[in-house]
Amino acid sequence: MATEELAKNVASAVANRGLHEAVARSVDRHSYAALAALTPDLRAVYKSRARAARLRSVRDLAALAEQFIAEAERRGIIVHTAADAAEAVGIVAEIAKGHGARRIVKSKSMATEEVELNRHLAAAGMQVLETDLGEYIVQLAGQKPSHIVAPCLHMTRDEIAGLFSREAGRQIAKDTPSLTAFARQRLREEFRQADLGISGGNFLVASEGAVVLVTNEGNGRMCTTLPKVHVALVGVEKLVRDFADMADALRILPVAATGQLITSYVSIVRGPAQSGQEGPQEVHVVLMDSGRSEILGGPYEEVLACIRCGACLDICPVYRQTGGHAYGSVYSGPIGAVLTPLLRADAEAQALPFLSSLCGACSDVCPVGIHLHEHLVALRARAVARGIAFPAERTAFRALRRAWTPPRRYRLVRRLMRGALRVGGGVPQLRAWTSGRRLPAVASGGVADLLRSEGLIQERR
Amino acid sequence: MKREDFLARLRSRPAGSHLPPAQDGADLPSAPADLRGAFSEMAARAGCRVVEGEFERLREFLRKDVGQGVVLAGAEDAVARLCAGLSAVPAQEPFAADWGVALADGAVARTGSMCFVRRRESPLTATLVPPRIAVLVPVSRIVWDLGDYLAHPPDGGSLAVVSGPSRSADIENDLSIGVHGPGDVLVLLWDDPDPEA
Repeated sequence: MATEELAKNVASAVANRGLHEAVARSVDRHSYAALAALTPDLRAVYKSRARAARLRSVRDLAALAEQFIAEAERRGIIVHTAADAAEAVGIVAEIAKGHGARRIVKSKSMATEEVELNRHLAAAGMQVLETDLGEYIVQLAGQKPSHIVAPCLHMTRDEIAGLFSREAGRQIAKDTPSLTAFARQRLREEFRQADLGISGGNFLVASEGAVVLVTNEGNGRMCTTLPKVHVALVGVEKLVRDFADMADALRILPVAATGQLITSYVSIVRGPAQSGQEGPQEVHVVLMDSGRSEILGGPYEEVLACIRCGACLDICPVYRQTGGHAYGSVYSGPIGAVLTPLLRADAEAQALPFLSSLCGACSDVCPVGIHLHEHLVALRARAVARGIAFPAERTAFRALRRAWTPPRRYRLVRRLMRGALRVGGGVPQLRAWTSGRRLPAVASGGVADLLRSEGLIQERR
Repeated sequence: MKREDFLARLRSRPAGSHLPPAQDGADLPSAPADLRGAFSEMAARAGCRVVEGEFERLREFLRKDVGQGVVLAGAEDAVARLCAGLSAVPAQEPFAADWGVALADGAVARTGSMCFVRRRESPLTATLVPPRIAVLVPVSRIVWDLGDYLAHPPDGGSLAVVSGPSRSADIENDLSIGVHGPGDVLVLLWDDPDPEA
């Protein structure tokens, strides 16, 4: 059963202490940097503007899509529309085949992860090389990214040095400069020879027909500048009205992601190069629906405003203990626990909203003010209504109902619990939890006694 | 999916029916008076080396820094004058360059960013491929926010906004400079003759 698989993944992640350390190191750094980057007042201003801009996009999505297509084509961009993942992959494969592409370089993109673009292109005989350092590492390891912004935060430098040494056929030292130098040299050669570049997009600017990429390493610029053909695969929800709205969202995206006021690079792709200029001869944008339109206009449409900063992952106490892979989804953390069940129908996806303590920190930290914890609660209710439940939880609630429904049995259970806690020093099954916390004693008088003493209930004789 | 069907599916949804009423964001604080000082400070904070002054001073500084290196440069008049006497590589061979030299189309003080537009005389590769770059930033082109620069979208092709060197923290969160893009960014802040004068 899918929920058992999820529970198993979580248990194995929770038991992995090395993983906790790696995850904590990264997410703490992001969270503290994000806090320090802006004064609270300025953050509130930026957040309100980013939220207004993103919600405007959700409200006007159909009109913005239409405008984007017209403006992009006016600038010479070839726009494709894909209903679902299969169509999106098919379109990219056709473009690559049409150009006889043999060397394909790619920059980091969650949309391409979502549709498993690399796997499908490989099946069609085309190898795609990831060029973001973290993605390159994850690709060499045969894994998937475990964080929206920092794909290999779960890996140690020893593991990375092992992968690079295997790739190089010689020993690569494990200090950061040596590791980075190897990747730089290896990937520069690929950039130089690539005939197709694939990217995602952080924003699509409707009024300009432009694709915007927000990056730090420069591989995104390489992929969109050096190959003769550039293909951007972007979810339709990434549309924004104009440059002003883009600037409003961009003002807080890097702050929330890594604590930077701006990333090293913001690329604004406005079409193919003119004759005699460097740059791609052809630019394609694949505008992908793949479940977005079904979210639009429904109770969860606010999540379409997400700017994929990863701040909710960084602050989440559950993500901290599990890392990203345990979610079994491209999107992990609180946003993944909300978005995945909306994009995927399987039982495992429906169970993801239960991977949350509902502390609400994700909603607090979200730079566009998405009420993530409220959506998590609603999606839990939806999952239960659809018959999704964890077996242990179902058994516990059944036992509770049997024990507490008759008043006499309830009183008896309460008395037994008081005694057990006083004598036994705690519940053995909860020892891991109670070793650092004090379990509150069961009150001598129950709720019924309290209400009775206040005269709020009458004793039934 | 046909484009009409794709758009029809979006149009058929009651978009916004579960969102709060539309509201504008709060007003941004006003820009400081000293844009030049703010740009200089923020560019340095973003990891750039900043040199300021008259054209000749900047030219001398660059000449010493570049030394025997070969340069990939834009073809704007100011850049041509700046690079006079330096060895150059043709634009088709960006990977052969030690240095890239470019003229900023705009500069953003709030974040210490420099904006570049692809034009025939301004290849975007000049600020991307060489391991070190020098950017001539005319003081008259500094604005406060990226939104101010984009309020009147510049003519030309694609844009690149550069804020400091290439960086990555993918290996155990250890900051690494120059992973793909340039690792050294020299800003030449130019007291250009006021174009309004």
